[in-house]
Amino acid sequence: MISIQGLTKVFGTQVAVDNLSFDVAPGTILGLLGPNGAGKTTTLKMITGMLEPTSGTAQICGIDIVRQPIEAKRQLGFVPDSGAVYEALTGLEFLLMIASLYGIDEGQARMRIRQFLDFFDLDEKTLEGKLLGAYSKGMRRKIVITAALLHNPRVVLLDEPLDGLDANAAVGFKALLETLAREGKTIVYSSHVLDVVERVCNRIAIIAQGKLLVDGPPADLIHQHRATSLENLFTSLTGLSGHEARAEAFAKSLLP
Amino acid sequence: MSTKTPPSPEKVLRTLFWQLLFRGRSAPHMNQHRKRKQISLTGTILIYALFGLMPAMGIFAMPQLAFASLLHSFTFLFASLTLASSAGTMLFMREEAEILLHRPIRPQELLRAKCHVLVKFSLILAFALNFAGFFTGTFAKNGSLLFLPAHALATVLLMVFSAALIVLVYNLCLKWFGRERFDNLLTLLQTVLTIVMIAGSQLMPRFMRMDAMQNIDVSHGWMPFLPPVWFGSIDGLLCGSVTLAEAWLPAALGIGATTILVWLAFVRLGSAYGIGLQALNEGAGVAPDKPRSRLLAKLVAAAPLRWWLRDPIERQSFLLTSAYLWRDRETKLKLYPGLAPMLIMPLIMVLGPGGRRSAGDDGTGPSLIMACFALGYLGIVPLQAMLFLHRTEHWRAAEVFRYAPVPHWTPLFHGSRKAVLWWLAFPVTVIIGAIMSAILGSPAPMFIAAAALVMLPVYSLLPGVVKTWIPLSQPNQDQRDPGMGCLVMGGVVIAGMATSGIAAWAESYGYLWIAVLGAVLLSIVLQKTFVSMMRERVWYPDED
Repeated sequence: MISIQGLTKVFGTQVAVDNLSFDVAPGTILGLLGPNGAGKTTTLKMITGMLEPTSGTAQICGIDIVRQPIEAKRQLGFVPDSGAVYEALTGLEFLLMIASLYGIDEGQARMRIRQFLDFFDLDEKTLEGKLLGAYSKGMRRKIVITAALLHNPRVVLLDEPLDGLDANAAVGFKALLETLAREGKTIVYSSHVLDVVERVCNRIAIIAQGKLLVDGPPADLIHQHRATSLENLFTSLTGLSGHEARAEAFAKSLLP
Repeated sequence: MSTKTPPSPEKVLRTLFWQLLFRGRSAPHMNQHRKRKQISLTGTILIYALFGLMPAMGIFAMPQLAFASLLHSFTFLFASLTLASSAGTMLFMREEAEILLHRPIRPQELLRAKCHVLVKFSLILAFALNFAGFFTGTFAKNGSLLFLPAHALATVLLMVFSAALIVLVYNLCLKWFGRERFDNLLTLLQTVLTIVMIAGSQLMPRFMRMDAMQNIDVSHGWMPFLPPVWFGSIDGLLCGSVTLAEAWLPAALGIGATTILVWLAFVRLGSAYGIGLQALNEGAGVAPDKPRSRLLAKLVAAAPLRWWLRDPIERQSFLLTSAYLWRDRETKLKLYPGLAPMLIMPLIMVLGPGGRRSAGDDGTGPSLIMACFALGYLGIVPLQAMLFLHRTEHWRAAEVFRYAPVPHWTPLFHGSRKAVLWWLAFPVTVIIGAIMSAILGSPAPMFIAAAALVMLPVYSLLPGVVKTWIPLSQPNQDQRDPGMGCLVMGGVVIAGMATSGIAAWAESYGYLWIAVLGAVLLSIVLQKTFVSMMRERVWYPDED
């Protein structure tokens, strides 16, 4: 599980994450929502130990990420939104390298890679013979997801994981997440695509300007705030009301 | 199926960084890289081994201590500086934080793995460079076979010292100056290192002939404070060619400095390495400060650039190229160190034995001929810059030029080449001409520079004449036709030298203005021809 208490990150004078606290129990898929610059990625980076919090704590399966970073990192898998990989390696070299970092022996790693290969419909020849720099965006995303799940982590953090995936792969991946959650994994899913979050997540946290605005099951939140949909709830909470009228006025201003 | 025990994370990282050191990013196939790696490593080792013959042959009149110090000077200059220029890009890879920092590895392990690879690479270079010296060193005055292990040990120590020094300097720069200034410092550092290496290769033979080297006294004056002497003294002490009383101070300085640097770089600042790596990644999207971008826009909107950049697409291409020339880390790291040899070579040619003014030479004799050769050499500055600006990590962004309703690729090309001429080629030619005039005490090089200057736009058109050229549109390492590139460059050097030579010859008869006028006319005719050749070429946006 994940437990964060009073998590704060300040860059210079800018407070990116402000006293954020929540727990995510095993079996939960938490959708982390917020407008651009709300502090979602910064929060994920602090939970993964990539960024040191200015104050507060983050625990992965009861292990403090700052005090015992190696033990905590072994429990988690992270898909960053950048989709960064070493482009000079082949897909297979990259995945074997990542597996070794988690102490998975080569034979077992190859077996798991083949499973992901089948799941994502990846071509073995491409994986072995082509450098990642020559992969399409969708194929790179599949490799990054594989690299995050290869060691079977107990906690999975995803930052815009579907970006670049084709429809079939996206549907399959969403089903995979639901299965993983049923098996007791803790999943945090950060995205801007509200309908996917609404469909996949059984709990939602909306943050803006680094602060937690609401947290709970999507249906309950929509009901509590008398919203018509998650999109309606999101826009009303994050201050973007009247967007239809604004869009219409803007489109008209573009016309000659 | 093999079930090997997984290696330690540090070993995995060492293998990873060794692979990355030799591979580009975008060539599609593995086999191409295997071949390239072998050719590149073998070629580099051979060049270093051949270069090492120079100090090795200078052995016979030298005491062993002087010879060892000389070899360490060469190693420090070439292997350490190569290490320094490779270290910047390896230590601070953008996006690496996103790949590795959430994995179960410590920043110190990451840093150690990178340093291990860098030291291994530089040791290969150092041993190649010292290969001949290892053997000839045994024949030095007071020489013995002990020189072989002693020099090997001292060389390892020297490379550890160099690696620790480089890591420390880079880490401190990132800690103190922040990401934006760090990128500029990195570029400056690598450019300076390139210049130092080239200048050093010219100065070393003279240094070898100095009395201070021939009759070395390591305890005298400034000698004990030179790093090569520290490690030379360790050689001497291990071989028994010097006494402890003579060489204890430099040897102690060498061991002490290496120990302190290793502690500072890997232990004291090692844990901060991850923070630095993350900071580098965070700053990736920082927008340039407004005043600078506004200044550039104002400059383009004002005369004379407004007159020169009449096409709006050309103007935008000029702005794009200027932004990459000034702001993009990858472009700066490739471009400026790459151009450094072209800037320093003309000065070396003039300052060299054939170029220096002798008594009775009024600046129009042999020294002027050397100056005109040197100025002609500058013709490859725009070509080299265009070569670098064709390729980038962000090459996919050039898709916009393919789907936008751009009628032809030539305005994009002209905007880019004009940025290269405006920011690099013209100022460099004028500055080098002025420096040469000052060195030779004659205005003649400035006049010859004028003739060279008018031909620069012609050379800058050549990449577009050879093939369709769109700025920043090709992936790195996708070198499709290097032979053609070399041929064009060679042609430009010959044409440049011929232009400057004719100008120098005309100047000596008092007809320089005719030569300049001729160059202007030739330049106009060639530019018109080349531009029309490019315009007539049908453009299929997806096929360039």
